[in-house]
Amino acid sequence: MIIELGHFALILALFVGAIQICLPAYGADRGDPRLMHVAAPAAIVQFVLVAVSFLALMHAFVTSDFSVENVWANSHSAKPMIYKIAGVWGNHEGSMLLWVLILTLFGAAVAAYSQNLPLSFRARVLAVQASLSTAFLLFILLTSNPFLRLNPSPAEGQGLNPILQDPALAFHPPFLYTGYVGFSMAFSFAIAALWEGRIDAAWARWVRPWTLLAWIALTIGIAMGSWWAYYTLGWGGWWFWDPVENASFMPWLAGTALLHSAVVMEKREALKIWTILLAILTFSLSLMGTFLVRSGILTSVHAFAVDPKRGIVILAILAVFIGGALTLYAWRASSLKAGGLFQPISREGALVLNNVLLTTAAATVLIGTLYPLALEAVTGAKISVGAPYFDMTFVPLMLPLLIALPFGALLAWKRGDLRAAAQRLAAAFFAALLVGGFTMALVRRGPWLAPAAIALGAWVVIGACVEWGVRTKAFAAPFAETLRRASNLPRSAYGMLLAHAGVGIVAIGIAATSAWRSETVQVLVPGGTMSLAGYQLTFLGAAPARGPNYQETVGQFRVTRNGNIVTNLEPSKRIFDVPRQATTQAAILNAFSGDLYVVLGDAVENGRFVVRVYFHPLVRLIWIGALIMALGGALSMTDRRLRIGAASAARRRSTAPMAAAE
Amino acid sequence: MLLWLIFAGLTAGALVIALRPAFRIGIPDDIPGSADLAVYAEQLVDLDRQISRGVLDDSEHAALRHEISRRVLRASQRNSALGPKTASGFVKAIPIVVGVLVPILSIALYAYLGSPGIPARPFAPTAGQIANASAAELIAKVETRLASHPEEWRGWEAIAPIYFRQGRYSEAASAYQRTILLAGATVPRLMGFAEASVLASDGIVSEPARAAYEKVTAMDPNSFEPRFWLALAKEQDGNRQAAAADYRALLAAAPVDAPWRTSVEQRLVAVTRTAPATSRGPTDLDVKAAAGMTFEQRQIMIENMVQTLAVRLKSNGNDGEGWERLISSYMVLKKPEMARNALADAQRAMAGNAAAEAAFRALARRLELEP
Repeated sequence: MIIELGHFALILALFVGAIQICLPAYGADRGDPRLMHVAAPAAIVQFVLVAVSFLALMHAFVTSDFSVENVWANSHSAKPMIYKIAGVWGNHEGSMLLWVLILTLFGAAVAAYSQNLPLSFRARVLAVQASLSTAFLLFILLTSNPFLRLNPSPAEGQGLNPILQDPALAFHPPFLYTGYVGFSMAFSFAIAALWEGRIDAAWARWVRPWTLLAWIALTIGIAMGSWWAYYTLGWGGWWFWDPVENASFMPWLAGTALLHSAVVMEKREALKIWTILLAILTFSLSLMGTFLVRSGILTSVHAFAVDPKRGIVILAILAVFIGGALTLYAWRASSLKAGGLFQPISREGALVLNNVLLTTAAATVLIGTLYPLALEAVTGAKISVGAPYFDMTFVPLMLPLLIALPFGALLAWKRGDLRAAAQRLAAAFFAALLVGGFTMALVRRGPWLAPAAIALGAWVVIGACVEWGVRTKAFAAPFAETLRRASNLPRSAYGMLLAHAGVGIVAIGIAATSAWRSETVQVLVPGGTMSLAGYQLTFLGAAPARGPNYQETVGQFRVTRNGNIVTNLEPSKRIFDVPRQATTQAAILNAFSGDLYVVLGDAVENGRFVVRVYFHPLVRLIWIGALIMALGGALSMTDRRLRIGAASAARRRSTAPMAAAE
Repeated sequence: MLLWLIFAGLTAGALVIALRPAFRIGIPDDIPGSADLAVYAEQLVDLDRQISRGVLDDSEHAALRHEISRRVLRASQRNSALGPKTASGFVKAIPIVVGVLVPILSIALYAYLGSPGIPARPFAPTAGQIANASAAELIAKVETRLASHPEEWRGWEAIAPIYFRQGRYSEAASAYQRTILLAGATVPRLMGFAEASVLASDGIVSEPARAAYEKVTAMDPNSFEPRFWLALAKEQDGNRQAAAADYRALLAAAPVDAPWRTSVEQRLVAVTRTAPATSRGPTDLDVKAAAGMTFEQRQIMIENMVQTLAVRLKSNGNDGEGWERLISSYMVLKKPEMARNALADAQRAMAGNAAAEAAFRALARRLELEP
């Protein structure tokens, strides 16, 4: 009965969504407050209904109710509990339900927390949000209904794809979806602004927490996905330029640009029209990501749920929302009032450069992702665009971004002084050079560009700290003064410091692991040894073992360094019971210098095994950096102040260096 | 019925909460733009706070205050241009229409999609699964005990038949072997070991199994079963005359109503047939199973058979037909290198047998294996 209740709640949510579109929209158009007031409670009711439905499905998964087709096809009674729960979104139908759940959650959050929004504006935002959720609810009910039943019901389920039975992968969809779907808020706000025909100062301030939340979740989601790929796919690659990865990376790039342009809009009322466009584009890229992953148009490791019929429906949703939004933009953007003016060399100018580079980067990724699909559709030729394309297009765009980043943070609003900024950054420049030189001395050989790339990463990290130093007058004022200033700095300033430093740390990790990765492959008898990157590995043998729903062969390795035992590593190969499929579990030793990564390969005769060993220097900095970025975002989000950028008076510029107020 | 009552309650609750504002009178009139002004007022308060914390200095403060005031002025000018519109009577009818339509549409769509009649069927283990689970528990208990006390033959003897019943033949065989090593050979232990070994190697009577059966016949000359397996071993080695003789002797000695007579008779017919006798070719059952397989599965089955044949020929090479079948099979599997090697092995194994050598040469010509 619970499962049928969930089904009915989902249907009811569809019609409540229709109410949430029509009544507030009509009310906003006529200026009728009673109809406009329907939006908020309707949004909350819609969320509660979808949540009931989601919990009902989860209940079916947890109790292994195989009379539900979706549970039968994607679960098994012997699966550990966390994968029964994760199994809810480990399949197409359930993941779409999770998508809509998050969509309605954001709608309900706006209804609950945005009492200070103008009534008509809030009604329009919620109507747009409801049109998204209603479209996806219709899609779920008509093409991917998770509540269909089987009668008579099978005794046992078919199991979850073993590749998905992993903690990081089990919990990365909720983060990724919160990211994707969170950008729907920016989209709804943008459409509402175009519809209403005005954007006020507060627009960016209202959009900021939602966009920031989405960005944080997406950052964590992408990092988790990359971390999963690193340790599961068996050779330690952390990014593959796989279309599914690109699908999440494009909204991230556009969303990052959006966050920055929204800052300009909030503080200076400039770049309004551009920010609106960026909000539309960011969510369009999220929708496209959903389309790419869910339509089955791609065939890759990730495309586990495929059905071309659904693809066409999603494509229609995509066309209506993206096409409609862009048409509305073309029609109404000219009626919006352009905002404040600024000089090219200023904080605004730097943020425009950031936007140009990030959106261009998103465009190159888009081309690299869609071109093979388009070519296949037109000529039937199957090509793959891989790392070489992205190395040649994406990386050159990131270099100027990283070089300019510390400058941007130090420029004043409205009109900045490049020379003053450069003077302050001189220390950072020399420190970065020192880091590069030190790296070169330490590794002695290797690609000559790599130390330069490390120096660039250090430049970004130190530059972020210099910006903090300037604001707190570190070394320039008495220590107590610095301390007082540091404690009084707004949290968003620390958020920026962390986020920018995180970027630099990621860059260092990428440069180091790409340049100095080493690997070796050997066939070992028990007792055999091999060595890599200063570690000696002794293969002690392999033994069978039994997990909750798999059989595994566990290899035992003793790792020593200069004769001292470091640790024992136990890489394994698993064969799952249902469905019968093999996975590889690498064993990884974390050290400050990098990861020792051991993979047990196939058994050769006489107990000999193929053993692959990799050393990934500093690879962990990639995820640590991403987490620091997310932490910076979170810190900035807790800063609920209303912000305005202080433009310095021109005449004061020549005499004293100006600290820009946040 | 209860289900429909819950549906009705859910629908009513949802509609009441969502539509209540549409019926309510006296909702505070929204003054357009008031939210804007609130934001600016808050910004001004924040400026004062920053001054008191010393993050801003006075001249910056003045500039900012000026800028915000300008924005306030602009916003209030814009607001006075707009005015609230009046509501019409038509609007009042909307929530009533919606309140009637939504339940009807929801029930209709649910009637189309839902299955109210099917009860929930949470997973409940069947009797067989419970028995399996308790057996698994028992095995786990014995296994942990044996891991720390491998010298206790009673444990090995207890677990061996359980492994056997579960189809884990190689584990059963090694458990029997341990028992024999620790506690000495008895007829049941030897028989258990031999049977498990034969089943573990897919019906091939391997050398250890053969030795075990030999021992059993020595200990209990009246037992028929080991004699049958020994005969089968001879047949599998290609020694068909000897196998046939043994089968005949078995049949002569066996009681008339012995249930295994028919199997022995079948084997006898198979070995005495003049046509290329199958010592270990695919049985009808195998072929039937192969018909229902996918290409890959079939390929694997064929490769398994070929491998079994190759292993057997390696230990006993005196089988011209067997060699010919092996060589042809390798060609079918598109492994000419293996076929060539097998041809060389065959010529070495059957050296001196002129008829076989001629047959090999003819085969090599036909399959274009000549160097």
